[in-house]
Amino acid sequence: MGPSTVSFVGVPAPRPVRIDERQFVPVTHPAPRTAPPILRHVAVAVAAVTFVVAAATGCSANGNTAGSDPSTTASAALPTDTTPPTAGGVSTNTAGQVVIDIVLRDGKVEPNGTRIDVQRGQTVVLRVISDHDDEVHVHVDPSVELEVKANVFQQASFVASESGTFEVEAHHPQRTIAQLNIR
Amino acid sequence: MRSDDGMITMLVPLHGIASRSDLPLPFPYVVVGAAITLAVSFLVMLLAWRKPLLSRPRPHEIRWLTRTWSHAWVRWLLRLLVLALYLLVAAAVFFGKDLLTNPAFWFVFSVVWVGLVPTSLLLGPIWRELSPLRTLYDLITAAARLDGAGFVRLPRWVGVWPAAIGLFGFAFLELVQPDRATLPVLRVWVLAWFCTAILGAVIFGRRWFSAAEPFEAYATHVSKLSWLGFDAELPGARTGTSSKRRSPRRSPRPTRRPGGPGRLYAQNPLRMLGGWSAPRGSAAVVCALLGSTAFDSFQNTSWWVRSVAAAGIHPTLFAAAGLLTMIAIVLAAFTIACWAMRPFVTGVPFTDLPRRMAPSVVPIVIGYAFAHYFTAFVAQSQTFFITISDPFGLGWNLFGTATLGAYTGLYNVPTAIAVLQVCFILGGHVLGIVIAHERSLVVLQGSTRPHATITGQLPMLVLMVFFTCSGLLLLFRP
Repeated sequence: MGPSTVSFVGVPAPRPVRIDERQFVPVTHPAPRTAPPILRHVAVAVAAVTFVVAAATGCSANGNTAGSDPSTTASAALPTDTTPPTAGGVSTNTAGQVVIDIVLRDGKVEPNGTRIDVQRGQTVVLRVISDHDDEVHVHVDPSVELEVKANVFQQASFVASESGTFEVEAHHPQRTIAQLNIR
Repeated sequence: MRSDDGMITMLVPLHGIASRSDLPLPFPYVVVGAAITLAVSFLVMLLAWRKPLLSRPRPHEIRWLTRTWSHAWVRWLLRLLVLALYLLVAAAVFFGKDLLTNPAFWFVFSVVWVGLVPTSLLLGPIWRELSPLRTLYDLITAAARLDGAGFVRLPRWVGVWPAAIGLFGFAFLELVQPDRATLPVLRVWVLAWFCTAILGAVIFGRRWFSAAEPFEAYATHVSKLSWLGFDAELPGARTGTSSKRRSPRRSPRPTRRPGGPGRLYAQNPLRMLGGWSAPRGSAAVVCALLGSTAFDSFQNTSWWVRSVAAAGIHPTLFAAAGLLTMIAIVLAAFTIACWAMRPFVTGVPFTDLPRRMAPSVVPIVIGYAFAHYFTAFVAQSQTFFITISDPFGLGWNLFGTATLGAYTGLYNVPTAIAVLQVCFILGGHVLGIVIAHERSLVVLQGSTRPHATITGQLPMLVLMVFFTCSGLLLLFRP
């Protein structure tokens, strides 16, 4: 086998093979036609193991929570409890509404970027207390905007009607309060 | 910006102009996807072909398309239509209202940025042919009786490096720039893009567009995975499409002016990408694209959300640094993989190796882009078609679409969306592995190390698995 002169479009021809002076014969290694046997066995073993693991994981994982029936008439009535929250948090009340307690204090927000899972059709209630004037904005469609005055307890509610991840944020300063994962 | 009823809404889009993003991928999907990635990668590396199969062009000319395109009036009609559309959107930017109903936002962030991927895949290098900047420049040079070569000749080593910087700039606008959904900010960016392109073209000639215009560079890279190609003559016509080269080239290949006549041909997309000789700086372009899409996803992780709040510096600065870091990580990983290939490579200097291997990352970029943006694109492009009927917010209905509503039913099937996202990422990975295998074979040929064609491919394989698994993990949004 002599040095290869085959070239391909856009590829310069490879440099000529170095000739070994002692033998006056070009030193080349013939290109192997197939992978060495041991590597092929390893490849098949790796492939088999990964497929088995994948199948096992796929089968054992519970299916995703099926999308809830969005036609449930969700009550958007606000809860009657008007005591302002002392700390940020998320809970579900007896009426099946997701209640988010938001505290805006000293330039910080509570909760700070938590993820909240909501079913489509559920009502989400925002209960906000702030030490300065601010806006709480939920990026759903139609947009929910809550103007908050300093030290005045506010609450608002909306029905989660579209699937996706939507942010709840404050504007002064720009902070993400929570991410709603509506399934 | 104000909403329709006058209430001030400070809409802060998550990315581009989206206020909604897709749900995180369920973790079992990530595991299954990663497992399939690993399996396919090793199988291709070890069991696939040993001699380069896809580097020779084998085009099939589409005669009737070539004939149609050869008529100047057909070309000019299409180019002027596209220019008219861009001028309408520009009018909306500069004279329209600062509302979300202004079509300019939907055009820039959705129709152009995301839409150019399926357009280039389906219609080949159509972006370059119908580019409004090129049309304007051709009109100017025709009117001023110039020849379009400019005053300074761009050296070859410039390649597409300016376009890589331009893509970073657009990623900054899309992901970091505060108030990007407001007209004053958009006006500044549109003017900057326009002036850089046209002034550069006046100085450097027509080559400036292919070197520095970010959307054209993006579209050209994506169009290499298309079935349709344009060229001055069919590739392989001089050297022949057989595997033996009969005679050395006698004269240089004729270069073709985009927007001018040429031959249209169909070809296996893998062959198109496998045999493509990428310009200098292609590695920077694909890394900028991959890094920006990855950063887009990374901004949704809880670590980032908490860090932005906790960092002492201004969030814009923090986000800009994050974007730059992400692109740098992708570029560093790619360079390290090329460095690890170096001992097995003869005949190709190390500085040329990233350029040779960059096309293998193109399918991964496309897969990432589809996975992240396809739901937003389906809805937002509809919004564009609706809002373009009333570009100035005066109650017009130019194209009859102003009263329609966007159909967002796609959003409400999260399982289907998740499956499609995984399919796009895996599809991009499989094609990327095939092209990487092909290009590695070309680059590794002539190596004197035993089994160089297998061990020399390992760094690239590890890199691609890393990109794909990171992509799946980012979609899971830890």
